[in-house]
Amino acid sequence: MIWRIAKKEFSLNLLSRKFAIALVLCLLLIPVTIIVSLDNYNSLVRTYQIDKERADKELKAARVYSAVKPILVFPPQPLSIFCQGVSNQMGHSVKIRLGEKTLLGEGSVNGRDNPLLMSFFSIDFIHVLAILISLLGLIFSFDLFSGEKENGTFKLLLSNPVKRSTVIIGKIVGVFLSLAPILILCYILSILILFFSPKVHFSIADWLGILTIFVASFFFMAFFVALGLLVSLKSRSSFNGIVVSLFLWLWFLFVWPNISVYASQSLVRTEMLDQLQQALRNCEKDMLTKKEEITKNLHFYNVCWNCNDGEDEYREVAGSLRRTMEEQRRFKEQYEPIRLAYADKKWQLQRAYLDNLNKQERTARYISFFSPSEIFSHLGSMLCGTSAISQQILYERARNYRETLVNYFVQNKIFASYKYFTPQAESTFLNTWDEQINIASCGECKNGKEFEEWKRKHGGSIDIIYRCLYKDGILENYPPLNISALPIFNQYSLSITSSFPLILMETTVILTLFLILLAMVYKASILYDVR
Amino acid sequence: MKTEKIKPSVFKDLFIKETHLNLMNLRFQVAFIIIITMFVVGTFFNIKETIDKRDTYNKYYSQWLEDMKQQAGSNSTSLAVLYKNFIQGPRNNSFISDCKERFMPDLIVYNAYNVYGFDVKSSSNNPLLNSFDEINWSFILITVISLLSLLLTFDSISGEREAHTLALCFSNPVSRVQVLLAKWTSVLTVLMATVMLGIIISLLILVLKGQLVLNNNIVGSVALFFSFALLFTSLMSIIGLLCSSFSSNSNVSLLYAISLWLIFSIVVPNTAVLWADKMYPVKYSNVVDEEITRKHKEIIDSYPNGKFFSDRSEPFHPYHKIRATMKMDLMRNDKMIIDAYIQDLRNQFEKSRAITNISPVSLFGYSMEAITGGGYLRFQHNWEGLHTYQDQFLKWFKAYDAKDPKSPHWHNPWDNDVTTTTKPVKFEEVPIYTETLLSGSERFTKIAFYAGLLMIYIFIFFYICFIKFVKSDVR
Repeated sequence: MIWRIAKKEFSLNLLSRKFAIALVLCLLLIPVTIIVSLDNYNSLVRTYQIDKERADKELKAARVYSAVKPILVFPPQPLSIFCQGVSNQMGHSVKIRLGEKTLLGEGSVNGRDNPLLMSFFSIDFIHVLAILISLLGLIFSFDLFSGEKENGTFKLLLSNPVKRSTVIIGKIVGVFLSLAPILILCYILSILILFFSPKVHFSIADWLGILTIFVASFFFMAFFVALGLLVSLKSRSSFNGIVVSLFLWLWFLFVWPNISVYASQSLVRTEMLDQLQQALRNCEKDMLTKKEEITKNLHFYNVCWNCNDGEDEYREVAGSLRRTMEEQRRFKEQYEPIRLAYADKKWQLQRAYLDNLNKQERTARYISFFSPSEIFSHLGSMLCGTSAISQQILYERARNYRETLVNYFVQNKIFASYKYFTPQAESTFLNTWDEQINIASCGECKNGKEFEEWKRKHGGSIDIIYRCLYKDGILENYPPLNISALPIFNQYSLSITSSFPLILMETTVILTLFLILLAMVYKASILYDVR
Repeated sequence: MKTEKIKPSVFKDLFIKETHLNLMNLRFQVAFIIIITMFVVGTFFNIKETIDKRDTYNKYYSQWLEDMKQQAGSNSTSLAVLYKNFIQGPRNNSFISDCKERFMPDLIVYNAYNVYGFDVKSSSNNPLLNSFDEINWSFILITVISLLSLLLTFDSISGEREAHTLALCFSNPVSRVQVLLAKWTSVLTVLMATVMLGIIISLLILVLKGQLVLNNNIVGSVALFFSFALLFTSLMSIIGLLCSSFSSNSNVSLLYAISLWLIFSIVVPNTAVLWADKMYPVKYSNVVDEEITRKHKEIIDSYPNGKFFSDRSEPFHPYHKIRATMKMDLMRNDKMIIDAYIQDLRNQFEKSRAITNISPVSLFGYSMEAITGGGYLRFQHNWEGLHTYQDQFLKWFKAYDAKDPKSPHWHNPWDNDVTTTTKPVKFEEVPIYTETLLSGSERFTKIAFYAGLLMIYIFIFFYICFIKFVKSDVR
């Protein structure tokens, strides 16, 4: 009997104009969304490849250990095509610095070159699917009871020897049967598009994720079907029913998500990133006075013969005198541990900032649990590895890697070695200034005295010391460092199994809501007055 | 003769009947509650948010001024060459619309020699949060009223057709235009009265909480907002009537209406990026970077050896001049490439935005920028303002430098060097950029443009709806 009622509903729906329009809507919206997301993903991949190549090149080209600042470039998640989550709001690369720990991702955000385009939101599959199937769930169920009551066929139906529960279950199954093809079509369409795009490769774990989202979307749809039924049972006329359900739809899908985030911003206050940076600079002031103290005791003679400087105390010297090299070495030996200590100190400030951000995110998430569509999209972002939590896991790994790297440096006493700042072998260091002048001027000036004379004669010109190239003094002549023993970071991907415990809460909430709703539907239908 | 005399009163009767029906309708009552709640809740959140933001920004800005003061007190060259960030602060009329400012460039980098670029800093944004819209007046219009005006109108023709009351109505001496107009104006009246009430409540809360001083600017913006809201609601409700006249089944006209709403508020705004990339491609940033690096190498190679020589004890050393000219050359070269690139980016943005104007929802969102003086218009204003300011700043610095006999006056845009004056300077004498409000004339053309476009849309849709309605079979 259940089957017969379901079949009747199914065939009635299948022939209706409603079904045709719903199908067209899906056929229009889903491909457009997938194509937009795919385009986005492709540009992310392009940025990733460029960044990765650059990072590898930079690391391989390092001639000294102070140039070893690995940049971890995280590949875009293929599943981000389905759900972007927050992955597009942070950069995809992390530079490992000794002087500062990683807070959040850096580099180009979004994979888009034009920052102005950020004001155009781009929706993803999960959102569009949530909008569509909730809408369809409501539209196909709002007149299931009130419609038949208005026609007078409900009385007729119940005059047959069937139980009410059979009718209800039959009707629900019928709606499900008519919506399932649309839902399945949405997935098939998007997977087909992705299948024919060359840059997208899903792993087995990714497929598992898609499957889980697929199952979850059925529950999500069922929730809205039940909601539509409940409204239909409670409302007198079917049109009042649909309008009320549509208000609920508007509220759940478009109003509440915004309210939840907006409210969390009011409830949990965070500071500006610039303020954190100001605080970090203040913290560094102390460190810089210590640096001055160290340099006061050291005397840098002829500091820069041929040298490169850069951020995070990168320094590369060649061709300097032995005593300069020694001073430099002693400076690094004393100063680098101080910088490491200050990185830990600064991390206290950074962590307070990060904790606040996390607290705000958590608040927003909990408030948004009042909307089933938000639960669904959170679930999607967790499964796709694009949620705030999964992003944080990556940054945490980067911080751990920094620790490993620091340990490697400390254990091998690299800070105290010449290799930290010069590619030149210790045995080839020059001992005197005269020697240096002699080589640089092709022997025209034998010593410093002659150089000073030459300078005076030529109106302060120092051209003479550029006469001959001092081979040992040219950084480009040195081969890159052998970094094969360096610890390597290889935890770029998030495993799907790690996200399963995360979605436990979302699943429980959505299932509980669904069961409560189902119980309410059942009760309302038993009490339903068919007259 | 007689019928003509009756006409106005028929319209009045129809209008009263429709309005009465709308007011008594459950959907309007629910809508009324939603709208008013959102106005109230949104205003309270907005007040809290604005206070927080202003407070945070003021703290940041005073620290920034402090840093500048310190720079000025130690060395005027370092003050001039230091890269400075201009960050846009919160606006005082953000309760009307935030104009998606959190996703707009709000950071401009400059020093005395150049304005280097801009970025979407969104420094007060939490990157861990999902992107969202703030609950303000324009959000209520864009999301809630747009759907409501469709929901109130989708069955006003098809529903009457189903109930056969339309045929009855036409049997009276009344023209079809009047029926259509009566339906349209009554929905408008009901909705706009609600919006008006919401606006008044919101303003009252703001004034009572001491967050708002009603000056000419604010009153003007509010009045403009209301007129645009009226235009927007008229457009959306005429679209609803159009959907209604296209089908004899209100079930189907509902789906038409919702499909259109989805296209206008989801599909069109969200596919802009795709169009931007495909129709107006720009150079990739890494290509531009490579071009700059290549040019840098060329320029550096063209200068003689010793160009990087530096000796702080000897300002007049001839090598310093070489370095200063070289750096100036590099800066000019960068400026040429980057300014052209930025122009490309802005063109891409403006053109792809022009495409999304086909959606009334996007169009209304953009018109908010002209009304409140925020969003992209504000960025544009600041971008140009900073260029003017940078000229002044450089002139001031050059004049100050010229007074110092110990300085060789070799201007170097990047290095904190001894080739220009190293004397400290009184901070009060240094020109500081402050943001000015957009002038009326800057906004007026935009306002006229958006209003004109909305009116054209209204006219087109009304015309189609009218033709359809007049020709329709009422049976």
